[in-house]
Amino acid sequence: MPACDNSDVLARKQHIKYFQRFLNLLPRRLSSYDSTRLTIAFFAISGLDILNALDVLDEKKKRLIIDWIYRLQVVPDGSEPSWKRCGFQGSSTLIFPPDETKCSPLYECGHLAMTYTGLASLVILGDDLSRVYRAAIIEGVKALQQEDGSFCATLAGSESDMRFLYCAACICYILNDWSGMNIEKTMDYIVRSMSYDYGIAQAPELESHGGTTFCAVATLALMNQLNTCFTNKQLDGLRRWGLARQISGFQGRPNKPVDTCYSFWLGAVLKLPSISGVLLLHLQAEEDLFLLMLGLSSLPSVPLVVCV
Amino acid sequence: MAEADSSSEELYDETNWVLYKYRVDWKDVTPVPQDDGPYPIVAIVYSEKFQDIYDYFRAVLKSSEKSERALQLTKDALDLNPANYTVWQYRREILKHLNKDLIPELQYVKEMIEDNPKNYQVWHHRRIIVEWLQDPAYELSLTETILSQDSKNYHAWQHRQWIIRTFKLFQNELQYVNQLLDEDVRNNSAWNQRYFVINNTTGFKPDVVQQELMFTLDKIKTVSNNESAWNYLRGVLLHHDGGISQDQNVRQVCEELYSSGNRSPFLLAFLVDMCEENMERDDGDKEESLRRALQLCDVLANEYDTIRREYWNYMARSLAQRMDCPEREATGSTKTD
Repeated sequence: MPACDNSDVLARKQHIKYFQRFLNLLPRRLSSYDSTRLTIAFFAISGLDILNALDVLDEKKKRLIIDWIYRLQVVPDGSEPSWKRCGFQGSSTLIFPPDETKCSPLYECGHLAMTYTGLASLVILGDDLSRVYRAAIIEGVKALQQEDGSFCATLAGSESDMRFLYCAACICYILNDWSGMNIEKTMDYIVRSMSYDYGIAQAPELESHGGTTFCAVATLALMNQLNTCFTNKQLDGLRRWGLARQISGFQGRPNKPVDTCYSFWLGAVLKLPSISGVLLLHLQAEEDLFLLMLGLSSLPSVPLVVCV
Repeated sequence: MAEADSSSEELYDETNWVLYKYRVDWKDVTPVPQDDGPYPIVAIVYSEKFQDIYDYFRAVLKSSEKSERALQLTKDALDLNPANYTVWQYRREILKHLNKDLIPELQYVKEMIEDNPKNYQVWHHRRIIVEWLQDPAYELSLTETILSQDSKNYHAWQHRQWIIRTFKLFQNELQYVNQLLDEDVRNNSAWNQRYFVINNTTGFKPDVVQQELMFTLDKIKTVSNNESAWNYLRGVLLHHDGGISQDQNVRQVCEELYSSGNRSPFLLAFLVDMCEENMERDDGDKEESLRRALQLCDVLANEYDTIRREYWNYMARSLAQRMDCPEREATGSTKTD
């Protein structure tokens, strides 16, 4: 791997342009993101935010984006059972023109990853969430929790695992309402998903993985339960497992190649105070890889999008 | 398939494809355009083919048509976007409504999985069909095929574990794990599967623990710088009364590796942890264990695992502090061990 010299800096202007471009248009070859456009919007908006460049969007543009997001909200139709379907959709694929009869309500329902990224985007853009049907969304979250504590993504049917558990936690946190989540079952699922190597998997007995470890640990942090959920031995093991993922950048599992997305998943885990009281990351190697990867990759590392 | 080159798709359009809006057998259906609002963002530049198919899918959804032609339409829609979970869901509704033979459906999903092996929706669909059929006959072979192309595909392993657990098909799995470890002893997924099989069959009772320790030590002696094997070793020792430092064979192999000059960071870390356990024991020589642990942390930090230098320095400080104040907690957990 070529060493980066000290004059390498983040190509901030180019990254800003990149996010702006995708916020406007996605090329045809990315049609497979048709159902998940809201998550792409989130990455572009939060990317601009991290780069301190939200002001490239003027107030009018921000309002238009906010309006587009709100159009994706599935709202109650007057009956209580309809609350279970509430949340945000990922795109307007299933939004019909206003003069058309609505399609079967079975298929017009929220998706936890879209609700999470939708709410997060609204918050970043400065919206006050006043148009959010909070109680209905929380009912929608509740309807998706499974017996084992994990969450499905949508009432229309999907797999259930750690990713949507994290999305559910983010929604509860943003809306400051945990009544839609059985916290005990959630924590139990997380504990059972810790592997013999102290990393955390998608589900019990599966292989521990950087992405799902983040989802689990971040959920506990949002719930303020990190120190009550795991013993010291488990926290120590988790810390060491996380640190062992660093080769130059980070890998997702032992003996696998590194990828930029794991810089986020593992970096975030290791930054949490319970996991790392001191700065334990070797930053120079990480920075070198990060700069290299930014230059080589044609898409920002968008793990949540790739993984739904 | 998932990332169809747009130019080849257009070529195909020109030569073979008939848009739904020109099909005689669909002329009774009015397509429903997408309503993206006055100011769409992240707008996709759909091909005409894509737009046409999805306009008809929306129409079919609106009228709840569950016919053979609707089934074929879902196939076309999924070819263009296999990640659209609503199309998959509706396809399942049609299959149920038409009481379709599910064996051809298994073949179809197999092809979709082969073309999109990291797509969540195809694997979920497979699982539902197998649940309906209550027949796992093809599943071990399917996952084996996918794993032969990518031996660490998480979805394949997840599906495989579900099949084995649900239909109690553990009998040949250890043999399969061994085959994979012969091909690549660093395959972390295979090691994880080994733990899964044993946990759910014999359990880690004492004779099994011994057998697994011998197996793993043998692999470590062959390739010592293999994190997966060391993690598995520790996993097995979770079931050993004496922790990681009381098994004779384990101690012997570690000491032999060390005295032969092996400085794999996993070996050294294991030795550190053995010293830590000895420090906590009443009968051990605490001073000597601490001295050795600090020496190991030092070489790990400065020679053999420098990327984790800060961590090993922190470990050294922790161990030394614990010697002075044994009752002080290293981390902040309130949960009892």
